[in-house]
Amino acid sequence: MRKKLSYKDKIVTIDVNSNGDQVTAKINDTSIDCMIANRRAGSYLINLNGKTLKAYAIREKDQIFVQIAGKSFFLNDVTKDDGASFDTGGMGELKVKTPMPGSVIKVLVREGETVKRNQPLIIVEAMKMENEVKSGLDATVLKILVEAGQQVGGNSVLIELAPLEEGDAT
Amino acid sequence: MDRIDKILVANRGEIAVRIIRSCHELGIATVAVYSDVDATAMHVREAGEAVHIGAAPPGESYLVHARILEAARQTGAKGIHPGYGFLAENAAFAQAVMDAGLIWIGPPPHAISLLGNKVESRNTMAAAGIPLVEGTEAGAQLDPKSLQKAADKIGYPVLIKAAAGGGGKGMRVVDDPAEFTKSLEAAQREAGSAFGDATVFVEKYVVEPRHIEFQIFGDTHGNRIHLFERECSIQRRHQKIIEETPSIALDDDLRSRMGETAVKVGEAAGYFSAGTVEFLLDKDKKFYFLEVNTRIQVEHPVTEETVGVDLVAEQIRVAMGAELSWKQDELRQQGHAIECRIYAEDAAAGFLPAAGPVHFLKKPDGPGVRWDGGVETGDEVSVNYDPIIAKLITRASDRETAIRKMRLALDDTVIFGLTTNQEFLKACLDHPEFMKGNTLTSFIPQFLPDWQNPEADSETLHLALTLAALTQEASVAASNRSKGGIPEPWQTLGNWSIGSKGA
Repeated sequence: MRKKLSYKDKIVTIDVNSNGDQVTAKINDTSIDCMIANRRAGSYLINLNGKTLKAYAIREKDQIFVQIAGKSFFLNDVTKDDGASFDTGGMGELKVKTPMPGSVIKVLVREGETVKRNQPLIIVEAMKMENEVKSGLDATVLKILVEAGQQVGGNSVLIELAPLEEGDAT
Repeated sequence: MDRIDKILVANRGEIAVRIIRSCHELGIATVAVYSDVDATAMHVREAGEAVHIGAAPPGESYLVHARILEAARQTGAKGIHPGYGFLAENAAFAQAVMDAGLIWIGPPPHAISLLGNKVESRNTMAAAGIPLVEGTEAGAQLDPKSLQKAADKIGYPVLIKAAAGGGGKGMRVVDDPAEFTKSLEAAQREAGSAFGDATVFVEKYVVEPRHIEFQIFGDTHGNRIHLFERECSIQRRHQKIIEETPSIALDDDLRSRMGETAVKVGEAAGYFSAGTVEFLLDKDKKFYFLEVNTRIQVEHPVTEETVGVDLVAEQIRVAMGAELSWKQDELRQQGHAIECRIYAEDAAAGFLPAAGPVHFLKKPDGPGVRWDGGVETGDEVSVNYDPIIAKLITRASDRETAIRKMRLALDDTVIFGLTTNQEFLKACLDHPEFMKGNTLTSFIPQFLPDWQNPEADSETLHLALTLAALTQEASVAASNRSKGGIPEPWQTLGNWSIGSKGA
């Protein structure tokens, strides 16, 4: 997931991926590999290279407030895209991810099935709201990695797609 | 004893919450009053009942005598506690409360008016033999010759001050008698252009002053005691932000001499209830009376924490006619306490108030950590009132431990939604001169001029960005917004009034 955040009049592009509590991020030339656990609203524990840091964060619309080890930050999310729930992986595959942590309500497709752009693939409940995760393009369902009832972390991969070759969709 | 079973708190914010807590502890019911913007404020939530008294500007609500008296009548409250600020030092209101047959929880009106008048209070204290900063009378029109003569008599250095003054304009320190005329002319020019009034007066310049105040207490039976000192030298915009007790500038002998003088000040004014006698202490350990604050002070918790008392509860007991709970020789200071005032303000931009919503608040806790707050998560710091969010107090066996404990507690305080002075408070505490006890009133301009919030190290910044990128909006906030906000019960009640039986 790529985000653009403004902090003190500067815009920073950050690529961040999470799988459960495991988080990797890339900011300019710096890579960050850490664990971020969130068990209570607003309250986080960060583990970086074996060091545990107490952190707090909340988001109000596009305003984000963060405090880590007593130091506070005020940021704005200036990512312009509408939170499309896919990005390209290697080898032309597509990984469909959840935009937020939640639980899988229903898987709407089967492996091998051909899907159209914007077709709902899976329903995930997060923050007491059901979200349809849709396909970003015409594709074949390569692999389904989750099942109904399963808890998923924010940004975890749900389904892998392979784009249809020109002329496949007949 | 004249028992009170219900008290109206004529205030808002942290001090109203603080007073309500002591009332409930004494088994006394409480009534809050509130303006339009405070309908769901923390003091309203904490009190047993609440009465709406008007619009947001204090002049249309918290300062309107008649509305507050009517709220007391309506709810059957027997006593009124004014807190600090608003009507706390208003002798006419104190009298009106008593005339309405209610109990005023504060000093007698005659003492409020005497001590509220600078000239009268100075004359009374001079007659009682209280040491004052020597000077010419404020407001007296003196020619340059008489002013120089007065300065020579007082002894240098002297301070020339604009009578109409403030903010350092029209103010000159003169060390050398030969420089007097030149400085006088400059001060008069400055005063004339800044205030349209060139009148100045001359007083002794107190070198390297500390602001030391003594908590005094009296009852209606003629007993008066002091509860030791508080040092409140760390100030910005002439307002204190860090206070502590004991002061490292006092030894036992000086402490008992200043304490006895403070009690004498109370006697001279016929004072009872809680009061604070302010002194300036110079570098030669000479002290001078400044004024008396005739109210419970913002910084009263540091005294409570070290002496082991509840000053608000004692105000209530004394107002009911009880004798003081303590005798002077029973009172002891134990350990050290420090208070930081957490304000919604931008310390990097002239300490300008920064009102706004509190999206998230997490207060520190633990033994010896006290939080006297006036807002919680979901509340708003209003532009209409003092932007204080909370007072954080730590107590420990010694000064250094209390300071270190405060430092940790500040790191453990999270307030999201508005700019606070937390980082500035940390900068004060982290300064080596603070730990050394060089807490002169000039501390902020001298040691932290043009302070800016320090940059985070790059590792912390990168983690902050990572966490920010992952943070989702909480469901409550988002769903409230999609519903167009939580409807206030007052908006949905419709045609409904307390006590009506309906049609």
